[in-house]
Parts: sequence; C-alpha cells; structure tokens
Amino acid sequence: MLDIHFLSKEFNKGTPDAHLALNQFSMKVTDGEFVTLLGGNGSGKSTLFNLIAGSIFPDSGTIRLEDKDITFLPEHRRALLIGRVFQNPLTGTAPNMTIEENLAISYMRGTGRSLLHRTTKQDRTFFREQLYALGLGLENRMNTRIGLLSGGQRQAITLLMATMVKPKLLLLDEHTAALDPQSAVRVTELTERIIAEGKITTIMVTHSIGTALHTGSRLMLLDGGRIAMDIQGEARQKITRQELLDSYAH
Amino acid sequence: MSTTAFFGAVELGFIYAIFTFGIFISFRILNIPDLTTDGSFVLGAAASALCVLNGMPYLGIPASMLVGAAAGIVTALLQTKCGIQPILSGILTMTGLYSINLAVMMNKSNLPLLMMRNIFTPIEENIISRPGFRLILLIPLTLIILLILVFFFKTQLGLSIRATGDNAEMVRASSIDTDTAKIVGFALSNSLIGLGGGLVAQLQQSVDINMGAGMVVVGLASLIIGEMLIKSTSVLRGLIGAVAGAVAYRLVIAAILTTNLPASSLKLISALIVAIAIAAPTFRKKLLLREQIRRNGADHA
Repeated sequence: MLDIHFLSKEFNKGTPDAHLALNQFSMKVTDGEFVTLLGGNGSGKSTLFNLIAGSIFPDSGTIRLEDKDITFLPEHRRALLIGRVFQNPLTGTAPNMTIEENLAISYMRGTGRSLLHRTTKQDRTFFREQLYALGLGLENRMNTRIGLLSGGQRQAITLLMATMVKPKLLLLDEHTAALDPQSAVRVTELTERIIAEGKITTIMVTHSIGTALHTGSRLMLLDGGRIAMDIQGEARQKITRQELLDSYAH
Repeated sequence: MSTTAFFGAVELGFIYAIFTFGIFISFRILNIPDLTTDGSFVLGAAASALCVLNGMPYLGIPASMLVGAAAGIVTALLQTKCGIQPILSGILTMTGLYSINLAVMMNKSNLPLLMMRNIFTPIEENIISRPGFRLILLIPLTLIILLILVFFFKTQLGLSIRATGDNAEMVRASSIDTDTAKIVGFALSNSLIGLGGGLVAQLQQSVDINMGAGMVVVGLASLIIGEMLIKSTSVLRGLIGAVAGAVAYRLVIAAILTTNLPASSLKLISALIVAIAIAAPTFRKKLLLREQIRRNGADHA
C-alpha cells in the first residue's frame, strides 16, 4: 500500500513567486483501492503525482510504497513499482519503434532478464494475447511503427505497457483528456477492466466530475495542497455533482 | 577512372562504412549530434599505428575500438553526469583529444607506416595482389559488424538505447536508466569510429594529426547519400544504407579527383553535399506550396 506522510513541496522558494504546492500532505491508499483525484488547477494534483513517480523530490515528508521508503528513489528505479500513463498519448510510447518493440521495453520491468535477452516466441505470443484483449485488432499489427497509430490506440498500448507487468501502483494522469470522445470512452472502459482484473491499486487524476463519481472506489478532492474531501462507500454514493462543485473553494 | 582508383575507392568505402555505422548510432539512433568523432577517429588511427609500429597490426583492431569507446564514454559522462550540452560535450572531448592524440603519436604530427607489416600484408603476399585485394578482409569484417549491430539492437539493452533516442520520457517510465543507455550508445558509436580510423591508418600507411578534421561531415554525407539510396525504416535498412552511402561517397570523391578540381576542395564539396541534402526537403515543400497556391489562384480566376 501507499503511505504518504507530511509531504511538502514549495516551488520558487524564497522568491516573490514562491508557491506552496503541497502542504504537510498525508494520505494512505490500501491495496486494490481505486482513488479518483479531483482538484482545480494549481491544487497540487500534478505535484503529488510527480512526487510519487519520482520526477521531482519533496522538501520534507516521506513516501512509502509496500513498506519501502521511495521518497528519493530515482525515477527509473521507481518505475519497477509504479506504472504511469500521461495525458499526452505521445508521451508513453516510442513512435519510431514497432508495437512489439515498445511492449518488449515495458516487459523488461521486473523480469530480471539479462541485458542481451531478445524477444522470444513465448514473449511474442504473450504480447499478442495482451493486444488481443484490448479488442482493437492491434494483435495483427505487431510490426507496425507506433507513430502510425491513432492517439486512442497509442493510449491503449501505453495503458497495456503500464500494467502488463503488474505494478504496485498505477498512476493515471488525465489519460483520456486528449482523446476524442469515442476513444476516451473506449480507453476508460479498458482502464476499468484492466484495473478490476488485475486488482491494481490505482490513483486517477481527472477533471471530469462524472468520471470521478462513477469510476473507482474512493474520491478525493484536493485544494491548495491539502485534502478538501475524501469519501468512499455510502457517502460517495450519495454525494451529488452540485455538492462536489461547491467543495471547490475557487 | 582507373581500375586502381576504383578499387581504392571501394576499399575505402567499406572502411568508411564501419565509421558511418558509428555516425548512424549517434545521429540517428540516439538522435544526438556527437562531435567527438573528429577526435576519436584520429585516436583510433594513432592507436592502430602504434600497434603496427610494434609489429602487432592485428592488435590494432581491438586497440582502436577500445580507445574510441573510451573517448565516447568521456563525452557521454560530460553530457549525462555533468549536464553539459551534447554538442559542447563533443567539442570538449574532441579538443582535449588533440593533445592526447599528439602524445599517442609521440609528439609527431605525422607517423609514416610504410614498409611496416599491416593487417592487409598477408593477403597481398599469400592470396592475391590485384587492386582491391583488401576487400577480402574488409567486406567480411563490415558484414560481421553489421550483423552484430542488427542483433544487438534487438536485445533489451539495444532496445533501451533506441527508445532513449526516440522518446526518453517513455524510457524513464519503463525502468531504464537513460544515462546508462547513452553511455553505452556513445561507447559503441565511437568504438566503430575509432576502428574506422584504425583501418584507414593501416590502409593508407600513415597517420596525420589532422586526418580527423571534418570527419563528422564526411560521415553525415555518407549517411545521407545512403538514406537517399535505401529508405531507412529499420536498423538493418539503416545500416545497409550506411554501407551503400559510404561506398557511393568514396566513388563520388574518386570521380571528382579525376577532374581538374584540386584535392583541397574535397571538404568544401562534402559540406555542400550535406547542406544541400538536408536543405532539399525544405525547398521541395516550399516549391510545392507555391505551386499549390498558384493552381488555387488559377482555379479562382
């Protein structure tokens, strides 16, 4: 599970532009939980994600994942534990490499194979099955360069790459926001299915109140670097869109 | 062009093919302009020359690769661990190497290797001595290196290096250390550049401290000519293109040498080839756009 303790991060410290993005922030996420994270611009959502993923480091506080202190673990080492999907579909895949090669790269995570290992027949069969499960017909296009695919297809593959080796934690950073409505629906369905099947502990940032209410098992609202609302179970079932909107301070 | 000149150009072409593999790895796969080249090429040549002078010409092959790799690692460390811009890192290594190269060459600006036994001597003595005899060694060597590279870039390490050049952000999210990928890539690239220098030294039977000047441009020219001949859609095709381009480039140079143009104009011609080849797509686009605007105008009239 994820245990964040008194995490603070201030940008442009000591200048007139100083901004306290996270302020003594604490949260716990238990195994298998699916948290949807709401919050206005500047509420600290992105900072929180970047701190958990290791793109930036905090001023104070600790982040523990599965009882391991990962606060200052380098990003690429943390990637063994954490899968991440970004808003921009171009971020998660290498455009000039084939689907198979992209999958092979993410499959390296935690398999402990030698650096000179090459993709085997079994690997290829496994990739094909995984692609088949996406239901986009990509299993027959393993040698296609990723750059030739649509944004929705690329995002589906990124999602697959982030979850193919089951991560301890999955971070979804508004991963459907840049897709057209149809692709967004398809990727959202896919996301829910993959997370449910793998019982993957997940935090999903979203700007859509509908999505926040209808997906996942717990809803959090961030404001000014602190938790403004944290509801699950019955309370979450009962809350209305308007009540949520009113909770945004600004 | 005489037969001798033709085969001489083809022989040089295959050596430059190996050198162009190195340029391909830095400029195309890692997508980083590496200017270490001008220095690591001479360093490889100097190391190879020392081996020849000490009667161990075959040792020149691994030696020139090793010293080239070391130069590449220095540039990569400057970039990744010291945060120096890629182009400047290369320039710094290249500049520093000038002194080191002179030291390796025992403070002489030119080392003649005439009358010394080199890796080609046994072929000439025991097999054939017609023009182009060196190809017996050079073609298999180039092919073996090509196959090893194709194999390597399919391994996990090779895929990591390719992805680092394609989308570094994605690579970090896949648990690969982009710094390591760059260091290995630069070492590999410059080991091939060093080997190219080492082979040129043994073929031309001399090393000159200034033989590396403008080699980046020569490599790029070969690469670009190769890409015009063979569209690079995979590592294999890219490498085959590098061979074709390097041989074609040497033949063009040999053809120019048969004209009245002075040999000193070769560098200018190489630079022009690269500038024109890179500029061509931009001009083509502009011309097409102008054409389209003109046609649209005619429709509306």
